[in-house]
Amino acid sequence: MFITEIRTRNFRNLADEKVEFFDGINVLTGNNAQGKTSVLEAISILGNLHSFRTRRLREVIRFGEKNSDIFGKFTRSGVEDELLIRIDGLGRRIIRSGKQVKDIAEVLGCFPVSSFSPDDIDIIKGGSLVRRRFLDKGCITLFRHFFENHRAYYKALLSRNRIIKTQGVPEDDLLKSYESVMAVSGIELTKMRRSLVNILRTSIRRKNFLENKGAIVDIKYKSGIYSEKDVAGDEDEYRRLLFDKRSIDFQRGFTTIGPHRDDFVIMIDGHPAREFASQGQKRLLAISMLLSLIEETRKAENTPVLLLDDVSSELDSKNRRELYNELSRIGGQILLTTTDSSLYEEIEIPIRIYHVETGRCTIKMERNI
Amino acid sequence: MSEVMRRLVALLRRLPGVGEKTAHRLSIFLLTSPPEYGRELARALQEAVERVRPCAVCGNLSESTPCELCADPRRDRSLLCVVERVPDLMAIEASHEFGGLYHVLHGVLDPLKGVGPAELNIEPLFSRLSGEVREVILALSASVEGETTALYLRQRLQDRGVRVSRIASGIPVGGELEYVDRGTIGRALSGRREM
Ligand SMILES: [Zn+2]
Repeated sequence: MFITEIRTRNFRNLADEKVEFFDGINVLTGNNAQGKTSVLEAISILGNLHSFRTRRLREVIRFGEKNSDIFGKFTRSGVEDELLIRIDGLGRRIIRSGKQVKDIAEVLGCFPVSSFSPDDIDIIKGGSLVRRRFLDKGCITLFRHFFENHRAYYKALLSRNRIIKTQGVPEDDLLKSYESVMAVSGIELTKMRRSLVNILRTSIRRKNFLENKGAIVDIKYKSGIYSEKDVAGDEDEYRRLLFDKRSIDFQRGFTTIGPHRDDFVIMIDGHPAREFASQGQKRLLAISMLLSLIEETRKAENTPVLLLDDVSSELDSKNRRELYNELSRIGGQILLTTTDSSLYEEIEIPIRIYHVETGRCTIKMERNI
Repeated sequence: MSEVMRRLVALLRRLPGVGEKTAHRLSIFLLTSPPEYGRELARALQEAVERVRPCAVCGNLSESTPCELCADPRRDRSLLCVVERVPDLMAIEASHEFGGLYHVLHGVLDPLKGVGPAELNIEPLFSRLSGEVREVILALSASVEGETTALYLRQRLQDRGVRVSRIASGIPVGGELEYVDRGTIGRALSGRREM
């Protein structure tokens, strides 16, 4: 699937104009604070119904205005689809091809958009939350029931935590029902994340970047249910573990085991990259992981539009060139932002370069090979 | 805006699904319609509030306790169908497929919203079991909340000598259940209907 055009109204500092995109690499260049990231943000709201920049959607409404529109056209196997999202002070309305959508389930997943910023790929130095989110961005594209299980698990987890915190001696039957939901959906989550780690493990070995070439990279999944064993486990065992942990959990005031503590370790030549890799190696490893993830999600049925916000900024020109070649080889639609477009202009891949200035997006260069 | 009108808007806003805008629209509609309509509405509301109450036995809305359903001698007293809300009961009734009695919980468990077992019509359900009830059917939605509520009820019902079954939601019982949350939690949970 790819996005053919967007049009915004009263959206941040963007001009109320139409911007067309092509099914390949679209590069948005320009200085900071000119609106490059806002273009990506608008597209991510169309696909995910929330923004990667803010939790409060109303912040996108241009200062002094009452509401804001994002309109987008998508094409999938030659069939066009339109989506309009209207944001006002109270919330958002979704209109698909002229008809108001009542249940967001009708559109969630229809326009898959996956976005990555430098924070999202800080998977070597960052905390475990960054790594779980990284995996989840892949899982949601690759596994059909990931979203429902994720939602069920976290809802049950938060409910269990609330019960633990607010009740002196919680009712056994009540805890048990939340633990059952956690066990069922938590095992599913574990299976999916674990299988993605295994997929990435095979893929990243083929995808070492320049300086890392020759280094042996490995990834190990660490389940939040079982601290040591690398096993999928079963529901009954997990339920027993939750039961056994109750007294510890009561003391600490939260649930101490489960997929909300999942993690993975990246190893380089047998050592954890976090401690043993150089700054440069870490950067390249993160980009390699991102490329592996992108390549794997490109195999999914409904491939997401990929938004890469400033992810190449820390790379030198040699590595950047390799990244672009690799992205072009993987294929699919990509929109990426950068402050420096000189390299794109000389590199021999099909590309469209836009210049973004004071909220206006104009085509600067186009190359079809 | 006058004080009286402000009060009206504030009260309308407390209705489910009614926000600021709608509350304004409704109040303006009421105040620009012929005054007979407003008076008639107020009378109907007052009468309904005073005469219609949840049935002390099953929680259904009725002018009498026990309600018409609970009092009906033709209904099968060995079957008890547990639903979330009154509209679910009405939907099942409209299908004419079920001849037993009902029990309305008036919600589902949701600790994040402060709804625990004590906030729901749950304890009265257990006091009904001493009688002729042989089977309890849980007709709750497939949301995470519905699912956990069903699990909780099953645990508390299992050593009471009654059969507990679960109607797979999404599969309507003749008619259509009115689901508050239509999101399902997927195959992982929905595969587990037999309780
Ligand atoms: Zn009754």
